[in-house]
Parts: sequence; C-alpha cells; structure tokens
Amino acid sequence: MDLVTLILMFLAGSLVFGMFFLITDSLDKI
Amino acid sequence: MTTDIIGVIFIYAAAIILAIPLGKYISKVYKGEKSLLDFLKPLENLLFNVSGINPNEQMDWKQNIKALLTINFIWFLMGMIILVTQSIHPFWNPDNIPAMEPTQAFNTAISFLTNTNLQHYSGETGASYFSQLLFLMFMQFVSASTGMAALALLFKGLFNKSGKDLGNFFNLLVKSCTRILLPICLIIGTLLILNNMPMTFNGAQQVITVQGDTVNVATGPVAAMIPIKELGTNGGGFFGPNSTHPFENPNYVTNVIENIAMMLIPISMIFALGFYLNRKKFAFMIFFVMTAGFLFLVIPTIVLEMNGNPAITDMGINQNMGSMEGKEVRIGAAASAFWGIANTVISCGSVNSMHDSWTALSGMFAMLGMQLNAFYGGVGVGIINMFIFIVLAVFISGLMVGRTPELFGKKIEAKEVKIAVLVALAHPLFILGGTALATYIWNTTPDAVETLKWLNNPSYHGFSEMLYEFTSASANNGSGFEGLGDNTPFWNISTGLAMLLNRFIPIIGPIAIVGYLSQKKFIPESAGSMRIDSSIFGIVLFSVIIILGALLFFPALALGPISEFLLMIK
Repeated sequence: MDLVTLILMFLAGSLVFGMFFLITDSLDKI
Repeated sequence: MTTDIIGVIFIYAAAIILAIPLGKYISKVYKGEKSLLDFLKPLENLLFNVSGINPNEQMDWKQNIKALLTINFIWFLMGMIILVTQSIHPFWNPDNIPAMEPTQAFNTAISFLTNTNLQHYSGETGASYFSQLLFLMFMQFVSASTGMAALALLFKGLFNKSGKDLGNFFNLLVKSCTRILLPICLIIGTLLILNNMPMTFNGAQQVITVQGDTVNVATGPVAAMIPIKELGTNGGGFFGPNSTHPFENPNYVTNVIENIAMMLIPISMIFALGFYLNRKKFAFMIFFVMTAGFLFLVIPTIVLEMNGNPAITDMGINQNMGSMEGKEVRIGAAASAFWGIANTVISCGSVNSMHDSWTALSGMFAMLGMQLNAFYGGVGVGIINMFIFIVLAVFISGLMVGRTPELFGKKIEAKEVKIAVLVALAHPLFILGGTALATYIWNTTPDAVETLKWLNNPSYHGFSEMLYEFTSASANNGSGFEGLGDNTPFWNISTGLAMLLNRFIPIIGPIAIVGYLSQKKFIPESAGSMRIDSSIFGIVLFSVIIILGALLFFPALALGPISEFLLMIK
C-alpha cells in the first residue's frame, strides 16, 4: 500500500472538516 | 403496457399513503411526545450513558453543528481505517477480499459518510463482509440519521418563537435510528427474505452451469443491507450491479417494496414538517411543488423509455416492450424509468437499470433531478435543500410586492439571504467546475483513451458521463451513468471532495439560518404579512427552482444529452 497517498488522503479529509468548523465559527461575521 | 403503468401508479400512491401516518409519527418522535416505540427508551439511555452524553442538554445551532461535524469526522477516520485494513480482519472475509487502495478508500469512506454511496468498487470483489456490515451498513444507518437529525434541528428552529436552543443533535440522531429506521428496516428485511433475497455469511457458492462450466456466485448478508440502502436513501448496493442483480432485487414484488421504501421517508418528512409546526397548509404547498417537479421529470421519462429508442427502431428492431437495452425483463421499461427518476430526485442513487443505456433525453431528466435537488430529496436533507429555495423565494416575493420578507413571523435579512445564496451556488459550482476540469484534462491529455482510460464513449455521450458523475457526487446521490472508468485517483479524489463539501455546506448553511431566525423577535402574522402557504407562493417557489436550474445547468445539458438527442433524430 502507498503510505504517502494514504497519509495524504487522511490529511485531505481532516483539512476539509477543519474548514467546516471554521465556516461555522465565521458565519456570524457575514 | 397498461400493467406497467398500473404498477408505477401503485408504487407512487402507496408511498404517499404510507407517508402521511409516518410523517405524523416522525413529528411526535422529534417533538418528544408519547409514541409507539417509547419502550426503546432504556436502550437509548444505555447508549447515552456509555457515551457520556446528556440527551436533554439543549444546544444552540453552533453547538449542534459542531456535534454533527465531530461525530462525522470520527466516522470518516473509522471508515478509512476499516477499508484500508480489511485484508487483515480476523473474520467475515471468506473470499479474501484485499485492502482498498487509499484513494478508493477515501472516496468510499466519504461516499458512505455523506449518504451518497457513489461506489467506485464492486461490492462482491471490493468489500469484505466485515466492511460491508460494520462500516458500510452502519454508515447507511447513521448517515441517514444525521440528515434526519439535522432536519429535526431545522424544525425546532422554525417552531421557536424565541430563544436560541434547537434541541440536542445526539438525542435526535439516536432516536432517528432506534425509533424510525431500525423498526421499518426489520419489516422490510423480513419481506425481502420471504421473497428469496439471500441472508448468509457463507462465501461465494460454486455452481456448475448448464454448459458444464464451474462459476463462483457471490452471495452474503444481502437482506440485512438492502432495507436501509433504500429506506435511508443511501443507494449503495451489496453487489456491483445494484438492484439490477437478481439477489438484490429478485422479482417485481421486491422492486415494488424497495421503490416504496426509498420514497417513504423523504415524502413523510414533508408531512412531518406540517405536523411539527402545525402548519399543514404550508406542508401541502411544499408537497404540491415537489410533486409537480417530480411529475415534470418522471412522466416524460416513462413515455420516452416505453416508446423505445428511435435509433434502434430505425434498424428495424421491434421495441414493443420499450427501450430494453440495459433493463431487466422482470422489471420492464416503465418501472425502470420510474425507479430511475425516483432515485435521482430522491438522492437515493440505487439503480435497477443502466442509466447509460437510457434514451438521451431520459438521461437529461435524471441529471436534472439531481441538479435541481429540490423535489423530495434525501432523508432530511431534501427539505433542508428546499428550505434554501424557500428563503430565496420569500426574499424575491418580498421584493416583488414591496414588503419585508418574513418567514413564520421572523424577518429575513441580509445575513440569511447571503448564506442562502452561498449554499445555493455551492452545488452548481462543484458540478460545473468539476465537469469543466475533467473535460479539460481529457482534451489536453495526449492519447487520452489509452492514458486515462475514463471514457469509452466519444463526444456528447462521453461528456454526459462526466457531467453525470459530478452531478451525482455533488447531489449526494450516488447513482452512476456507468460507462465511465471512475476508479482512478482523479475521480476518487475529486468526487470525494465534491461529496464532502456538498454534504456539509448545505447542512451548515440552513441550520445557521434557522439559528439566526430563532433568535429574532417574533412578529405575529397579520393581514399585511406575505402568506407563504398560498398557491401563489407555491408558483413563485416552483418558478425560482426551475429558472435557477435552467439558467445554471441548461448550457451544460445542451453540450451533453440535448446534443446527443438532436444527433439521434437528425
């Protein structure tokens, strides 16, 4: 198994979820 | 032909008739009123005690959304780990299925997390029984429950005359599973087993065919997965061919049961809204708008598929049974067309015929159902998507008549409209942007057919296949046009991101809007208030959906199915 790709996939998912939390917190400022 | 039409009318009528009492029951469950399955409370309390959650703790919209995102992130990590390690699981892998490749696992984990079930693998060769039951089927329950719980938060927000509490997401999530999905799945599962659907943990069965060949016939715990596949509008099949497979949809009776199951909760949620808010007229207005949209898509599709493909007629081939390429004889053209449109409109995404083989305009109607994404929709998220259109229609109507836009006594102001517009634009952005990117890569790659191996069909139909894939992913539908070689890093990652973004942005936005609305001052409705339960508002709402959809998607549809149709009749 390609470990680098695997780690990148975990990171990609984590980053998008992180972005959802940021969006949730920043909607007050719209 | 008449029997085919009667069958389709029966399915639709049965789904609507069953949806009304179910809607009333769902409203009672979410309101916390006394209901039929209250005896399950000790089981729910056990779950809450084990996980240290206080189900009675009231949370505002942000706390609820963060709870929703956190549990979904944990499920994403869990899914990735299970799928990339399935080859070393100690049990429930009798056919020695290998571990998933990382980008495929990424796509699959997100696909089931987001209630999409866009499968870039074939169930019988790509997922072990362990993965099928402990991740894929588990996610089919909890992803459906997530959508339903999010809608229950929206109900509470609209119901509130003051205050910022929207309820408790975890409480609603668990109740959606224990009180709604599990009991109905038990009934459907029993009916399916009685109709010869397999339910076994044995591996593939060796069978000697009449020709004398030895073949391995895949089987498994199919009847456990199919009820929630349909009821939760998941659509992810146990087998690669989904509900065209004779073990996943053995006969016309199972076809009727599965088709009713997929339509049941999305339609019942409309009635649940009316019962919960005590605004039955408003719920009927939404029901009629959604039904008009559904009929606008399903009637021409049935007619087209029953009339057959003109190109095949020109070859002198009899099409008395309709356009039967890619369809099952035991199901027929009408029931296949009805299922296909119901599945694309309802964001279930299971298939009982190959949409790639549909006549060109039928393919367009299937895509349009997902692109508009407002008629019935998925469990919970269907009404949530419609809510965005309602906010936009209220705003536009307010501008037209010169009154302050109001929704149930709360003013719709700039913040709510901005959020609604951003959510409404996210969906077409990923469909059109993704398709444009895929088309660019295909056209600029030297010898793309051999290098990329995506498309087997050239020209307009190939474009339709790429457009359909991004449409299906963005609408969290999960059906495939097929014909597209989609198990590649590009498709796995791009559609994975499209599914993830288009699942949670359309949940965060509407819940935020009701969160802000519920904190506003309540202004009692008066003779001067704009009525949003009237037939006039229904027409405005329908027009907003159709005009937005036509403006956004017509150019792309013209490059795909419409061009293909014009070429065929030339």
